[in-house]
Amino acid sequence: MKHSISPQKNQTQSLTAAEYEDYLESIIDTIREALLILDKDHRIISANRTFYEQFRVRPEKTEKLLLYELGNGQWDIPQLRTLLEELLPSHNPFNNFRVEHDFPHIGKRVMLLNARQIKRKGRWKDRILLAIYDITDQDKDRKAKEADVARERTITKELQYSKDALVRSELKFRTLADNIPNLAWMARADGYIFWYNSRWYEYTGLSEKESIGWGWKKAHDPKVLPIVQKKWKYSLQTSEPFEMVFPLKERNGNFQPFLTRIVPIKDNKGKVLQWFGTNTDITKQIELERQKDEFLGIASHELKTPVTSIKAYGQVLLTVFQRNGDTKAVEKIQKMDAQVNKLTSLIGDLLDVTKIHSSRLEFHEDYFDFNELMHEVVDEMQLTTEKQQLIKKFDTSRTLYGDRDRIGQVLTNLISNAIKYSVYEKKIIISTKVTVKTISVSVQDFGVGIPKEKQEKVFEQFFRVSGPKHATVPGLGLGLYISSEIIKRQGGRIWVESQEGKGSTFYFALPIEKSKKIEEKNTLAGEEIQHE
Amino acid sequence: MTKRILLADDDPAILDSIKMLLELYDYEVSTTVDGQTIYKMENEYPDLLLLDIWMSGEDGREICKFLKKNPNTKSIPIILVSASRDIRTSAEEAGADDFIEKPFEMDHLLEKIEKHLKQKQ
Repeated sequence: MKHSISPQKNQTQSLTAAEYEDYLESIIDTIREALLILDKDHRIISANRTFYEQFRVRPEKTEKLLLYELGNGQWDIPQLRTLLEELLPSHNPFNNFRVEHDFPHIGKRVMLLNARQIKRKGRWKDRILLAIYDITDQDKDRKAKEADVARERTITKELQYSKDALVRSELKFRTLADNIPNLAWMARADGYIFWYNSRWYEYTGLSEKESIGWGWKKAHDPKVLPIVQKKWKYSLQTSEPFEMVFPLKERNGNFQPFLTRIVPIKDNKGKVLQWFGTNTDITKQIELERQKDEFLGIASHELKTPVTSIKAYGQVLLTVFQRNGDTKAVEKIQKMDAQVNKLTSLIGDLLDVTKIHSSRLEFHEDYFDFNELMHEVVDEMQLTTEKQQLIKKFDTSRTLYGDRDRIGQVLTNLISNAIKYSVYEKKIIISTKVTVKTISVSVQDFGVGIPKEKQEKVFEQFFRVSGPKHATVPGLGLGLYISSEIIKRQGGRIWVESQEGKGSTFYFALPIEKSKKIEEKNTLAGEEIQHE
Repeated sequence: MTKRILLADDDPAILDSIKMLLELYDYEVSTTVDGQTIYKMENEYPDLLLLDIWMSGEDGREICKFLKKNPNTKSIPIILVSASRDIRTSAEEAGADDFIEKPFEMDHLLEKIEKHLKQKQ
C-alpha cells in the first residue's frame, strides 16, 4: 500500500484511532488481493473479504489461528516461517515468495506472497501485513510458453544433430576411402560426384577439375558407357543400389576391369541424400578364374585318358568271361563298369563347367523323338538302382528340335539326384506333359526335400544341400548348374517344387519347335494335337 | 580277310587295352604313339584308322586332312577320337568319316568300325 490515503478533511487534526481503523477496513475489504494481518506470533488477527472468497473459508477457521495451522498446512513452510520471523526485528519486507500447493476446496494453485511490517504514524507496529496473490493462470501461460520454447530448441537441436551426423559419416567415409586400395567417391542425390578419393586420381591420372561432377565419363570405355549410364540412371530413379563390372581407363591408357558398387544414403523418410560408390580392380580375380578353368579343362582331359583304358580293359575282361560262360565274373565286371561310367560323368561335369564360363558350350541340334529319349534314359538309370523303381508316366510323344545328348544329360542328372536324395524311398515318378507349345518333364522323388530358403539356390554352381540328413550324399554340386545352363540355352525353363521331409519335384520345359515339317509329321502319325 | 586297324594315340595304356579288345573281335591291330609315322606310311596301309585328335603336339585333324587329300590314302575310313564331344564339328570339317568320344562303350566303337569297313567295300 504505497499511497497514503487521507480523508478529505480540512483539518490539521488527525483522524481518531477508531475512524482510522474503519477507513482502513473498508479499503482492505475492497481490494482484490487476499490480505492477512498477523501478530508477532504469526497468529491471524484478521483477514479481508477477498481472502475468505479466494480460499473459500470462514472466519471461524481463520481468526486467532496460527498462519501455519490454516487449511491443510499450506503455509507451513520453513522458509516462509524464517522470513516472517526475521521481518519484525529487521523491519525487512519480502516480496514474491512463491507457493505452489494443492489447497483445500480450490485445488492446485500457485500463489505469490508479499509481507511487510505495518507502520502507523511513523511507528512500527507489531503487526505483519501478508498479501497473497493467485498467479495460477499467468503461471500456466508462462509454463506453456516455456514448453514451446523448449520444444523448438529440441527440434533445432535434432536438425543440427542429423546434419552433424551426415557430416560425421561423410568424414568417416572420406577417411576410410582414402586408406583403401579401391577407387571411391561420393555423389549428390542426382549423381553429381562432388568428391573422389586419392586412389581415383592416382589410377585415372585425371585432375580434380576434370573429374568433379560428370567427369568420370572420361575414364570409361565409350563402347560400354551407354550401358553403364542406362543402369546408373535406373538406380538414380529407383534409389536402388548399383552393381556392375565395366572397364576403367588407367593413366597410361590401358583399360582394366572393375567391379563397381554404389549404395544410397537415405533419410528417415527414404529419400536419397547421397550416394557412396567404390570401384574394385578385379583383373586378378578374372585371371584366377581363367586359370582355374584352364586347369579344370586340362585336368578333366588328363583324367579321361586313364579312365579310357580302365574301361577298355574292363570290356576286354567282360568279353573273355562272357565267352567262357563265367556269368558271376561278368556281373562283377559290369558293376565295375557302372562305376567307371560314374567317374566319367563326374569328369564330364568338370569340363562342362569350364565351358559354360567361357561360353564354349556347344550344341548339336537335330530332330529327335522325345519319348524315345525318355525311355532310353529312364531304362539306363534303372540299371543303377535296384531298390528304387523308376515309374514312367509319359504323355504322347513329340518330335523336338534340339541337342538330344544334352537334354538327355539333364534328365540323367535329375533322375540321378532323385535317386541320391531319396535313398530310403521305393519310387521315383518321371512324367511328361505336352501342350501345343511346350513339352515338360517332371522328376518326382519322395525323399528329404529341400528347405524353402535354399530352393532358389539349388541351380547355383557348387551348391549342395547340406544338413544332417544330407551328410552322405555324393557329387560335385555341378549337375543342376550345368542342367540349368543347358535348358536355358535350349530356350526352356527349369524349376523345382519341394517340401522338406516330403520330397522334391524337378521340372523342365522345352519349346516344341514350330515348323511345317514337324506339324505334318505329327498329324501324319495320327497323334492328337492337344490344346492349352 | 582279316581287317587291319591302325590305332594312333599318345597313351600306351589306351593302345594296349584297345588292341586287346579289338583282337578279341578278330581284328589285326597295329599301334603308334607318334603321328609322324602316319605321314610316312607307304604301302602298308590299314583298312581303318582310329586317330586321336591330340597326340603330343600333333593335331589329329591335320593328319586326317592330309590323308584325305592323298589319293593313296583318301579311301581309308578315319574315325577321330577325342575326350571332348564338342570336337565333333571340327572333326567333320577335317574330313573324318566318323567321330567318337572317349571313354567309349565297346559296343559303340565296334559298331562304328563295322559300319565303315562295310561301306568301304
